[in-house]
Amino acid sequence: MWLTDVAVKRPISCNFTKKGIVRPIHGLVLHIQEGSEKGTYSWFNNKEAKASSHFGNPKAGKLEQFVDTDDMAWTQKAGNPYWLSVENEGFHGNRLNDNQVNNIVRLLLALNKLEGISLTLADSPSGYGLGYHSMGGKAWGHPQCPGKPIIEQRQTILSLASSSLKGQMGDFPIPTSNMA
Amino acid sequence: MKPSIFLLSLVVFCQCVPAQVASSARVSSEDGGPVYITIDGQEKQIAPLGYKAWVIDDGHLVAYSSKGSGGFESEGQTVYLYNVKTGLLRRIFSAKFEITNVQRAESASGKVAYLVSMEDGGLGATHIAVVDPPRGRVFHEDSASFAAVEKGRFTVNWYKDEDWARLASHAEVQPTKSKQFDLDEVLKPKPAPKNTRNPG
Repeated sequence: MWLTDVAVKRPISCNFTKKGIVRPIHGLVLHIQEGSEKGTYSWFNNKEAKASSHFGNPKAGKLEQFVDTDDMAWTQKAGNPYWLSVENEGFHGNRLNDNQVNNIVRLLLALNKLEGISLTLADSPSGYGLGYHSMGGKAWGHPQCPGKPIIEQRQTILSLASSSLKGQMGDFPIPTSNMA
Repeated sequence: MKPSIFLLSLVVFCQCVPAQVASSARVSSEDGGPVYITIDGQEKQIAPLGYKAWVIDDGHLVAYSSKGSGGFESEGQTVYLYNVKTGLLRRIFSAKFEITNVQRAESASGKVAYLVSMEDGGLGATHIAVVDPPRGRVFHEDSASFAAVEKGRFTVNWYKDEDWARLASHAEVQPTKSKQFDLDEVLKPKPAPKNTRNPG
């Protein structure tokens, strides 16, 4: 599925497994690119990279979708079949800026509606909700990703999403159509 | 001093001086930290940052992985060789993946090479390279692993992209292809590609 209400469709040509996602999906995993959105998209299109993510979240502008949510992106090794992934532009230790937070809130609301992903904190591979790369330990790789500031921002993201769901905020309309 | 006495003294001296070999090597933290080796029971720091370390060449050399550049989320790493006797350090290989193992191999004619195993943090596939110390990488294969290493040769197994998740869950997976390589052939310098430009 391409979530064109909340993300710009920007498919990559390689580095994912067709129809590889296992439902019910556990949740969304936050990553840090250790670089720029442009460079990450370019690397994911290189067959030698052996890596990708479902979404890319730039510091400015709309969320981008690189991989169909029916397909398995190659982002966190053993966690790949059960989790969707979003690569955030920036470096380890950075915080997400307002644009990036808003993009993820919108994405979470869409995934909550379309995939039943719960608006809860996930802190281990067996959990459900909004997780982060290093929660998977060695089996998921990259023990520093995405860094403490972003891990701590998850609570803010979930609060914003929950408020929007309860109709207390108008900034994050729940997508209703055009989910190709 | 008579030559015979001198030679005898030299032999006794050599037998008393302990060989400069490392009995073990370690990195202080799994997430990276100073690299230590042990010589004659004494621990010594040889590098401020490493991720994994291996004693090779009967303790005369220590290989360790350290920060590199590039790759998925900047996971690229570099392999250094530390000479225990001289303290000299050499960078022998850089990869865009995490280094998971370094082992010494010897060809039938006695040439030494290092077999490097790697793993990417996205798909979770393993990748391999053969490093000739004076020349650098002379052989590499993605989505492959060293299945066996014997005197003078090694065997490589290849796997499909969809196999890696099953291999991660310790399922038994048959390789798609398996091939044995002669290390002397791998280390043989390849002729430079011919210039295909029209000289006219």
